[in-house]
Amino acid sequence: MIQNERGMITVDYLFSIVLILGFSGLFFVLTFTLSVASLTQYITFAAARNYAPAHLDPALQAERGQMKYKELISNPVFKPLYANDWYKINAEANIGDHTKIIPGYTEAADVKNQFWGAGTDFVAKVLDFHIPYFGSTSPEGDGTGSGFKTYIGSYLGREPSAAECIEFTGKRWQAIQKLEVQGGTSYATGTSTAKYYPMTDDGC
Amino acid sequence: MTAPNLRSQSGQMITEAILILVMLLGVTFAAASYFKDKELLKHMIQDPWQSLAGMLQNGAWGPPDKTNAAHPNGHFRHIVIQGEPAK
Repeated sequence: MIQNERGMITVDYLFSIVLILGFSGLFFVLTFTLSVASLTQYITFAAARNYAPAHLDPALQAERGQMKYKELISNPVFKPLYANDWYKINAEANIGDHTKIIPGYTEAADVKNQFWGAGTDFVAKVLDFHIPYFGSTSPEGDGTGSGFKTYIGSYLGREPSAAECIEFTGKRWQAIQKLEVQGGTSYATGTSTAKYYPMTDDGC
Repeated sequence: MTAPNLRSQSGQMITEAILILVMLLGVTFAAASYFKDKELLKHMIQDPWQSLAGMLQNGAWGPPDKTNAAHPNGHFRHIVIQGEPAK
């Protein structure tokens, strides 16, 4: 019977539900990616904040930053985000002067700008997908999400460590001793480097 | 031998159904082919991501490798490293 329209509503419904589910899934991964990127940004910020304050030496400062980074990415709440193959970040944060880590920064840095902090690569592998017959979001990609990679970092600087301050103070005394004094006795006269004990008080 | 009854509509439904099916499949495959040839999925997802990645990495809209120079790291600012006078 040509005039029989029974079943059309089912076809319409199936078409609509596929379309709506498709777009809903797409918007979900996009918004979720933004949320995880923001979360990762905060993790690098927390690591940079632990890296910045003074400590005994620079290595210990970096260790503090690294500890905070690892603590957060292994947190039971955050860990599943990076372990389910949707998003990838570095197992260890890049800590230190990022002008030497990110390609292109060194050339632009004019040597004086030094961006010290913590950062990580961020790969949104969830955006690298293939829809049968309709193609891929990354046709030239290898399925590893390499087309959806960026770098997320926080740059809060680094305070001089106690070791650096002591070294600085020692060198300063040697420079004072070498000052040319006119009409008087030089600072090197009757003074000793051996018995000079550099001291720091929470910084240089 | 009986003469064919031209007024009979039997078989009309199946003929039209096949016609519609062919048309639907044709349009679907044409659309799929257009999507693949023009890389529309890539343009819908990866191209906007490039701008977003630049903003995440360098604070500027655009591909990360092209916006590196726009990062505040590239801005001039005076800091004293070796005691040189301010410019």
